[in-house]
Amino acid sequence: MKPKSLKTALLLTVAAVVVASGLIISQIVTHRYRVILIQGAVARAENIAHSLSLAATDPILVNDRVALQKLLTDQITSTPDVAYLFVIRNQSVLSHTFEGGVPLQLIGANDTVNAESGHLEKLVSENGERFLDIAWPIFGGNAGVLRLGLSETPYRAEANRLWWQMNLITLAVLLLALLTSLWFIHRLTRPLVQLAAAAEKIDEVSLATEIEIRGQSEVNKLAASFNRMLARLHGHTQKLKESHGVLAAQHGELDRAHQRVATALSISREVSALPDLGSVSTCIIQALGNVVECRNLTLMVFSGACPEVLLADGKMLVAIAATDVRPVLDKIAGLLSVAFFRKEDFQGVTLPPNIRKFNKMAVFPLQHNG
Amino acid sequence: MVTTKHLMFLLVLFVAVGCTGEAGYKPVDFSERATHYPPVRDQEKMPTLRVAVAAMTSPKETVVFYRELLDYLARKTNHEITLIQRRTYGEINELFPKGEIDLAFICTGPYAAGREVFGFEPLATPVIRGEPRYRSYLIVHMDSGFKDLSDLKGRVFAFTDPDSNTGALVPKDWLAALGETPGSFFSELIYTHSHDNSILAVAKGLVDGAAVDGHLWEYYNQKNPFFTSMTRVIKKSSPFGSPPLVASAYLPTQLKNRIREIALNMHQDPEGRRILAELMIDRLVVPEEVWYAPVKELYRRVGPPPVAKNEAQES
Repeated sequence: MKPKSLKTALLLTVAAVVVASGLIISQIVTHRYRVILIQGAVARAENIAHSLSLAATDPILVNDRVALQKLLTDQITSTPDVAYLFVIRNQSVLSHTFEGGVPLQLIGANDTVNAESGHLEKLVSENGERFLDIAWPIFGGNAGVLRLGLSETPYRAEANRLWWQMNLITLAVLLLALLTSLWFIHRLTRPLVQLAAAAEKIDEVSLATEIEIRGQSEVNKLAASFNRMLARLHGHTQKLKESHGVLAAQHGELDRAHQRVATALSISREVSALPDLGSVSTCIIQALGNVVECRNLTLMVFSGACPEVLLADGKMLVAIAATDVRPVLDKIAGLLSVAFFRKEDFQGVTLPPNIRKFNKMAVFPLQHNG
Repeated sequence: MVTTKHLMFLLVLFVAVGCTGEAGYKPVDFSERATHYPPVRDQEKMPTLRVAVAAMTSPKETVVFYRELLDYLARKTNHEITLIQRRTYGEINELFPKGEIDLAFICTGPYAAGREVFGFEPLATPVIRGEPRYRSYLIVHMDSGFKDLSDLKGRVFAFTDPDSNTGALVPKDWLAALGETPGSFFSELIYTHSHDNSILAVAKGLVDGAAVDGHLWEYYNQKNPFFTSMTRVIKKSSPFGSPPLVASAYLPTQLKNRIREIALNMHQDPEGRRILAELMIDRLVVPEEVWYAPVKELYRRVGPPPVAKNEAQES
């Protein structure tokens, strides 16, 4: 199962590396230490055996069994790691240090291979106790063979102590490494966490915000990149907003144009069926009343070729001479879109009663060509 | 990423490293025990001759000294030889009446004093440098200023064995001639229990002087002069019969005669001659009582030997 967070993964990796390396190192060092201890023990056993065989020669040759026994007993008393000693001569055990008698299998378990030096045999008892058994020729074998058994127990205990010490040290190193790693990982990932939190807070409104994060150079680079990305996003968003406004305006314009066209078509369709100008004017005013948010509408119809100007408010139709209101006609004849006028601008024009009372008016030019 | 496989690998490595170096132990059952482990003697194909060598030389030197000679006797007599050594001359002598030894190389003193008591029969005496006699040498350290025995008054002296002729009896006689005894003359007297030990004691300065077997001093001075070169002979005694080879009264006459014949003709056999030459012995000859008469004269002058004293007390 893979760890979910970067922090956990890093901590697990550090722990695994420390534990594995610690165990391997402690195992290798302990093994080497045990080998060296055993080698030292073998050398020590050989030294004791050599020394003892020299001392035992005369008592053996003169058949002084008591002196020989004392020699062995004194030796085993002064060197506690020596587990046993016995002397074999002519296939007979002359003396030994076993309390309950000589183990019979032990007698034949080792022997010398030459008259000058000892022979090592590693033995293990039925209880699992291990011995370094040295068979050392006494006086070149002429006075028999000394058998010395050195227990490996103290040496193995020493090696095991080292193993435990090293493992405890490994544990301490592990704890220290975990604490250090935790602190370091926290310090390392804090800018990332801040970055993540800041990123979560950012929406289209706060795109202009700049994240302030201080950390390692890589983190600073990431924050700068993130800020640059935000700036780019902000710029693009602004452009999109502007485009959206333009499009909305264009869309409104189109919508109004469409409505005008539709109204014009509708008016044209209805007007074409009406019998007189008064009905046409009423129809147009009603139609425009549905399009424009104005309650008081007056239709003013004029043409350059026509000598009269017609004014209609839906109830009545009034005709006035174009020459009397030429200045006014000139003002509104050139309009292409809605324009606002004051009442004074229509001086000379007898306005219908419904708009006469207003000081300000809007003029919607409806031009007909043809 | 650390995976289960990695951990398993580490575990296997851990166990593998931990298990190394445990092989090669031979299992031994320590539970089956025997209070005594008697000699497992083969069927004795050959009869055994028990040959004792008195502690004229130290036990180790005795093995080196006599090994070839004993092997020669074993082959010629078709007997297996068991070498018996004891710490003192007296211990060897006591084995004779018990019938525990068949042959022995004994010192001149015990031979002269205990022949009748212990019932041994002389077989042969070595002839060395042309004569069947030897002398006692009074030796001191090479660097010492001692010129004669009187210079050693109040000094530490070494006897070999209380029963030794050249190592104890002769210096006692020298002191008796001066009107002294070892107790009155020397500040301290020690027993080294062999002549080579006495030479070592003087060479190493453990004692100021010692009386040793002249043959042995010459032997070591020629073969291995390490210690003798540190000593100096300041006095030599008159000659006495050399230490003889004797047989037990219990040894069958036929075998006794066979051994005597082998010993006396050894120098005529190439191998025997080589062995004798190695020991600096010309040949072995039949001992004559007259050679040992001076020893008896010594005992008369300085007092009876310990064995004779014991016999007198018992009677």
